Amino acid sequence: MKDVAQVSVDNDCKIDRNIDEVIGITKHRKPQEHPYDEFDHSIIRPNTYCMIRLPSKTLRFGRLIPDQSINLGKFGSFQVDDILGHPFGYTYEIIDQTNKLRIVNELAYQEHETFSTINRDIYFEQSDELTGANDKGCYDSNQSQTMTMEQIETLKKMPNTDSGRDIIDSMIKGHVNFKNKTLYSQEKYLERKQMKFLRQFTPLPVTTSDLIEYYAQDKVDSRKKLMDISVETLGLLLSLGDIKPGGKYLVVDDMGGLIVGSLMERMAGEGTIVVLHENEQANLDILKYLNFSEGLVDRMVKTVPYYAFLHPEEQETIVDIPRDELLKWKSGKRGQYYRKRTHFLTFQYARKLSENQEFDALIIASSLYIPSLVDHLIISINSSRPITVYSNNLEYLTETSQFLQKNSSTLAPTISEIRCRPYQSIPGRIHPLMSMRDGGGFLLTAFKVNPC
Amino acid sequence: MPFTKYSDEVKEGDLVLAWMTRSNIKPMFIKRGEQFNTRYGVFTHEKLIGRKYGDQVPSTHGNGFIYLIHPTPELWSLSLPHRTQIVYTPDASYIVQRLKIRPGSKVLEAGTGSGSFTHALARTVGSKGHLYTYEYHEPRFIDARVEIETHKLNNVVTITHRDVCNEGFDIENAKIEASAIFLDLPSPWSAIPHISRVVASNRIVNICCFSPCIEQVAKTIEALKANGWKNIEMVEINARKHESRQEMVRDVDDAIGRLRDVKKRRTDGLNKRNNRIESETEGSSTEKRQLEDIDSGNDSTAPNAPKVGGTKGFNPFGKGTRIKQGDEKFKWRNVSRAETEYKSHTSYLTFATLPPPIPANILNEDGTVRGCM
Ligand SMILES: C[S@@+](CC[C@H](N)C(=O)[O-])C[C@H]1O[C@@H](n2cnc3c(N)ncnc32)[C@H](O)[C@@H]1O
Repeated sequence: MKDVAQVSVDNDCKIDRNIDEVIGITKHRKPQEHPYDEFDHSIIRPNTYCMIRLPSKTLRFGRLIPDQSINLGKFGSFQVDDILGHPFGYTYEIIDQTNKLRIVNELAYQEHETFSTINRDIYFEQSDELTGANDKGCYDSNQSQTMTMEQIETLKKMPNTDSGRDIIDSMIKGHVNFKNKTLYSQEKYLERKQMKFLRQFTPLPVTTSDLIEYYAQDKVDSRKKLMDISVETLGLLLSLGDIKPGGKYLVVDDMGGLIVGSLMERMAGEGTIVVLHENEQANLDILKYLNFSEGLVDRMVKTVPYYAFLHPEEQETIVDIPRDELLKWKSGKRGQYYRKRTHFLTFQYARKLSENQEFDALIIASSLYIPSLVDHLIISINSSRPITVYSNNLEYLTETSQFLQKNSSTLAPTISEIRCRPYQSIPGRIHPLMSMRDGGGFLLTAFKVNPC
Repeated sequence: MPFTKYSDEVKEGDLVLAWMTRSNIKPMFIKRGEQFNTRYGVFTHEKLIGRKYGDQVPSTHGNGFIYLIHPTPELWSLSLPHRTQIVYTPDASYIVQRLKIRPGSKVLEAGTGSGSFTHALARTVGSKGHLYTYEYHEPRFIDARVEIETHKLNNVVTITHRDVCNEGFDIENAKIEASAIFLDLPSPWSAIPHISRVVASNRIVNICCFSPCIEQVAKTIEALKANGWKNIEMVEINARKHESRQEMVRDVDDAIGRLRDVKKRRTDGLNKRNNRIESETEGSSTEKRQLEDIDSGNDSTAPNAPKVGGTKGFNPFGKGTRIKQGDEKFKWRNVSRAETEYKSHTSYLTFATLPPPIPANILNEDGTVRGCM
């Protein structure tokens, strides 16, 4: 058993693959070579997952399959092929009827130049802060808008309506008090209307941060899938965990792979992530949304159940079958043998890292009871390396912190909380936004040490 | 390469962080013949060589100890020599995440200042990426350059002595092609117009400007807009720590039980005394006062009365005794208390993105676009 553990999994998998090639079967885990750098987020590529940001800042998420179109609901639809090969980050407008796209200046009400296209001169003709217009007596009631809903709907359906601009145009013309508004509230009004009617979108690469934002659009989803973690807490976790290329990390990820994915983003393909899980299979679904190839994931991520990791003595060992013998087997049986053997070697490899205390960090985001989990795993970590635990409940971390304070092999347990406060970013009108997302979780960190 | 790669054993020439307490971490370069003097004792470097990182080591005379901690950018920013205000980990970690800085990224930073953020950036971009950092204050530039060398970051970091507001970011013979920019200087708006010359032309570029005052933010936003930056958003990072402690579970029933016990013992005591007084036929006035004192709970002068808050009898909360947190004789609960160890305001972080120029091969004649795959 010990001997097998000395062989690295990578090499052994390679041997397996060679045998497969020799005997001419396609292996289930044969890594596909990826045609591009998986860490390069500059260009929109076919068959990859992509984030799409709408003018309202809402995120949509989907896969870019060539020859297909993507439907953005009331904002229209577009052909995937029209954006393939472009750099990420342009804002496109869907042209009615043809559904062709053109690149526009991004919508944002702080960007005055955007409005020039809808003839800003007319709308801002007399009211300005300097001319002394103010909002006094200016109510946005339904009466202020002389256009009826029916009129707006008819306009929307008119064949030559240009991307909602005409609607906004007409709505402004039909707004009795628009001219009396300050420049600022005119812009706010425009922004609200544009968010509603402009048929624009911006493709963005999928990163773990974007996935957090995407799931955060639905509170229940965010809580259930991502344990309520915020972008800033994830960022802090990656810094305090000192994640870098070449590291070997012991990870518990009950967020479907978000933590593993965020580590991979910071490792650029170099290093190892051992993921412990409670069921027979780990759930790392999120990795595919990050457009990491199976080959890369296979190479970097080794999944092992707690049961095997913590009770190696209870695990079945796999006897090496000589090649000649294997060739005589039916391919189904052979496949099964390979699967078992890969699992076994992965487990042996993880055990070896643990026994030699080679892990460069312990990263935990789990719904299991944390003190006992930490208790079992601390021993695997190298000294002077960080232990980082995420939880959406301060109470669990408080308890774990107490536990670590009594443990002489951990130094300085610390609970951190980080929150990002967004502001309205209009010069002269800068103030914190009225609402921000709540939650975001907490981090417990400590260092592994050797007491004297 | 202490910040980009871990090592296990302390060697001569290593940068080691001597951890005395959380707020007292001192960097030391290990050199045979030298020693590290603290109020925790004397530590000769000779004896530290060959130790494992993470070891707790006693001082020469065994009257104190330190931990030998491997440097990380986060610990460095707690122990570095301050030449300026610095960017602390909460802000730094968010900026790296939000600017999507990865191994391989090319990043611009101005000014270098105390090099606190420089270390975090260098760790993340790694040897496949590069950090270009600029500092116009000569003594600070020289110190930072020495630091980059002694920390073996030369292959990751290029430091340039330059006023970026007036002279921009161009470096002779270098194709910078940055995808992320961080500006921590008093007037970012005068540096912003120089950026477009040194950024990647084929991808979206991210920027963060770090300014303490709202007036600076306003000017920065105007400059960003004027230079074609989109998605402008300003945020503030608030961070705090929570202290975890154990607090005794003091059950109301136990409190009642205790008072019941006190009263009972007092009644017993009074009865005993009354009996005594009665048997002595007449009581003196001092004794009367003592009785009143007992009734008002102020029993300190009553020689024989049970002490309220004393250690006798039923004492569920250990009153009047010295108790260690977590003492097994009592029931405890874990509680936390927020401590604002980080500053409540550091700076405002203004983020924006710059889309690349539109390549001609994706434009149709009518102004619409086509794919190019
Ligand atoms: C607050 S410090 C930066 C601290 C740094 N971010 C850190 O974490 O240590 C600002 C630095 O910018 C430098 N600086 C100011 N204006 C500059 C300019 N125009 N060009 C280059 N450096 C400049 C100052 O000399 C100062 O050292």
